[in-house]
Amino acid sequence: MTERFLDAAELESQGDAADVVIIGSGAAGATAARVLSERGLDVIVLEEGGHVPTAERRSDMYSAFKASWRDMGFQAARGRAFTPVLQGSCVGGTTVINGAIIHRLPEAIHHVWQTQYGLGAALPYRRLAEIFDQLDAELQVGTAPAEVFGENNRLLQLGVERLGMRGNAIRRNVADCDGSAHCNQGCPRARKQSMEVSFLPAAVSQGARVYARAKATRILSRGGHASGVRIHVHGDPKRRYDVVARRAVILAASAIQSPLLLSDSGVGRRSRLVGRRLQAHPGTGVVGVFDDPVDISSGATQGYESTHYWDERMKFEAVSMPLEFAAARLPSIGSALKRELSLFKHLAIWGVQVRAEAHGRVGRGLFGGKRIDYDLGDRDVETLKLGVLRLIELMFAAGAREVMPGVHGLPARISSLDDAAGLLGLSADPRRFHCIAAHLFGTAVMGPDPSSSVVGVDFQAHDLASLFVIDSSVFPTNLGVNPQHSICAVAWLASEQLADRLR
Amino acid sequence: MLRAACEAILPPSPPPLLPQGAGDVPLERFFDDLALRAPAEFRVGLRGCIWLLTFAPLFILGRPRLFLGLTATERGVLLQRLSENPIYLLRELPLLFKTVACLALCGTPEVQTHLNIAPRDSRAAAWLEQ
Repeated sequence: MTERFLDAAELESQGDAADVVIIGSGAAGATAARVLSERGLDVIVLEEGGHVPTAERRSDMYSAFKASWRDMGFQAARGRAFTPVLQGSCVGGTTVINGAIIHRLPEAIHHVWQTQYGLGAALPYRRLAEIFDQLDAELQVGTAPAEVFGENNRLLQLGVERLGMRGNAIRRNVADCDGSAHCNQGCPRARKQSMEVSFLPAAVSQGARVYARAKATRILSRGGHASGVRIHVHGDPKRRYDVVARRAVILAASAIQSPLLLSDSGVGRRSRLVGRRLQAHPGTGVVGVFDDPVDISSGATQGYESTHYWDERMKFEAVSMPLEFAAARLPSIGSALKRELSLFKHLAIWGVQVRAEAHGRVGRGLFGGKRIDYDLGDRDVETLKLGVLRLIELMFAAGAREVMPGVHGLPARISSLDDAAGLLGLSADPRRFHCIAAHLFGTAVMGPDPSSSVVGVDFQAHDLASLFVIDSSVFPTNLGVNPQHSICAVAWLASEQLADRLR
Repeated sequence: MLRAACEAILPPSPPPLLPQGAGDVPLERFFDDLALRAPAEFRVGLRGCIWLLTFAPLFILGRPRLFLGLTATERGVLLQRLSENPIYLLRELPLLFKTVACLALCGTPEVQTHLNIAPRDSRAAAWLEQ
């Protein structure tokens, strides 16, 4: 398949128009492009970020930040604590930089959506299951080969087994993983089946056009219907173009960017819910020091997990990370930090991800900038504390000689589980932890009632016909698992329905 | 000022520790690139943190000095004390500087080679080539 993507600057000479214009090239947008172009519709995909061909990727994290991460990795939510909000900003979106973890929408979550939010008919699980099967096949989902599994993953497995917990090798959308542990920089061998090497080339081969560096600034409408998208070339606001949508506009720009674009376009005001109810999976990590080498710089980036305590709203994962990240996570400074760095090959890093109850908000701040507000409540912090305690227990069960909990109020290094006994007694303050939020939901929620939702059960905006929102903005709750596959499946279903409608 | 903070966080070391310190890479070029590319909110935050760090010796160490008036060892002690401070914003200061220092130094092929990290890409970070 070709990997021919266009640049927004190319719109200058000729403009462009299509049956369907899709905003966003991540999991949702790329899936829509894949499905709609196969159904014979003429499709344009607009992506704000640039495209970095695999061969041009650098392995250092700063280069990856600049090329592929939103706000260079510095996007953060405000609350009592600052929480980095991790997203991709490139052709392929966050799928380029995520850990390639594949989970199906949990049936328990679907049941909540069905019974509490009236989405059962809109999202039939039987059809979703068929789509998941097809996604598995097309994205080559499987577990990491044993030879590249990596010691970081194996040690978590060991800890899980010794504590009698339930765990499993992570299903990943990676074809023949070579264990580079470079998922967060963009796979250096294009083994990860992120959207820029899978669904987007598939769509292009069916005639779709993918424009990189095309920052959508407004959804255009005429006669009560979405009629196009105004963009400017990223980094050059004076070069503005209108892309015409003959039949529909699909918004798939993520739970941060989609509500901003809706608000900027004056869509969704009736419910007053655009940008509200932001939900996430905040997570934090614990570092363990082992006598034998672990080497988090090789192996499957994230190859093993435990959902044993999923009902308690927590999930554990092994997390290989580049040296730049790991070094910043170590507790010391100066010569002591250099001594800790000398142990790099002996470090294991595992994380806990919490299905948080907190609701945040996305909107415009001072001078028109983006503002994300998100603050964990007491119950979420208590879950986080318990999760960290269990991670520490797992580390020692797996044979760690020392653990660095990364919690303000605990010693920087502990050598037994007893040393962490005070953790549960600490006040429920999110500022004790260094959390990140990587999975985002709910900022343009879907539902049958226009007074309590932004889009209808057909994914169409309640107050602008021909505008369809299909990304995780429409999810009424968070999932408790990594969302890429669910986002793809829901976008697939929405796109099928749209194709039938436009036939 | 930012250079001094990064050098205090990652100083050069005698063997067998990682010999390179943050001062061994062209930090000014890195800072220029960061200033050019990073979002405005981050740049404003970083500038505010630099101001706080400048005067931190007064309220953390009780010393009538600015940060640049401290010895290299004292700067490290100050940053460590800040990282343990009960006030959230103060203990986040060193983390911000540490992130900048680690992004600048730890992605270089020389450092990765010294730490026996298998090279995936023999090219230097793009900012080093500019």
